[in-house]
Amino acid sequence: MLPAMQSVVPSTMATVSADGIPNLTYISQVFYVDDNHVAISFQYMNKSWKNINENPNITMILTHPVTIKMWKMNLVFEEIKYDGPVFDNMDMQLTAIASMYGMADRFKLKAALICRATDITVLYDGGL
Amino acid sequence: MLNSLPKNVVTVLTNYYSAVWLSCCNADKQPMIARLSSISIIDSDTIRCYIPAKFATELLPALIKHAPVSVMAACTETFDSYQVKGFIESVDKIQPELIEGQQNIIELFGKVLVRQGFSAENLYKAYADNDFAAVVIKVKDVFEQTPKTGTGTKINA
Repeated sequence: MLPAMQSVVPSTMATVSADGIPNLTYISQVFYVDDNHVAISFQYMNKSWKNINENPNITMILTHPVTIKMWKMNLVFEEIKYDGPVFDNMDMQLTAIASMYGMADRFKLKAALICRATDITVLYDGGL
Repeated sequence: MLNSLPKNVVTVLTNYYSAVWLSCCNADKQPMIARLSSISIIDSDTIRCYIPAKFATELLPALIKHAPVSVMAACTETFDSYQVKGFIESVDKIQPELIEGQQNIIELFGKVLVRQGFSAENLYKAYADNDFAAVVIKVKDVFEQTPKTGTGTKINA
């Protein structure tokens, strides 16, 4: 699953407001923290961040860049980090990703959203 | 209130080289996502989204008339992205004669992404299906979603 978290294929994230309105966005980076947690890069989130504060449930689709194997990951937001080892590692990786696409100015990391994984489902088993 | 979908939004929504997604939520307010094969425009504020059946199984019970729904389209070449929000008008199985057209769109999408180093065959296998759901959505709002300052801005404000 780790190759799917390397942002070759951007992950898709959905959140829902307290009154049930969904919001979709692409996420540049989903970072492995430990066996139960990932960190999501916070860059341009407006509505998503508002939704997460109203309803911590998050659903993400991650895609393996070679096989196109797809996972659905249900997450619950736990905390936001503006510094520390996870933030620093994500910032470094994101700078490398952004350079690949010539978009370093657009991909500045503002924070890392630490989330607990509550369910992971294989949506498509891959093409190989 | 939306008068009509802007032309640049229609372009990104309907181009075969756009990646398109739909989201709704279940009764527990858990967000749900499905990859779409394509979007077509019905009239100035109504769109039809096609969902490969394999991605629709879990979603279908939540896709009920008047339920709020969001659709995001992102051009894979320019990163121009838009999100439309509205309410479900209807959900039906696709007419059999339209299945081949959806499969052709998925094949074209795969071929476009070969230029970015992806396998067209694997993309086709991932997204293609023999059955599709058609979801008609009445669009209420359109948002800029391109990754840049100002993303999330309502276009039809």
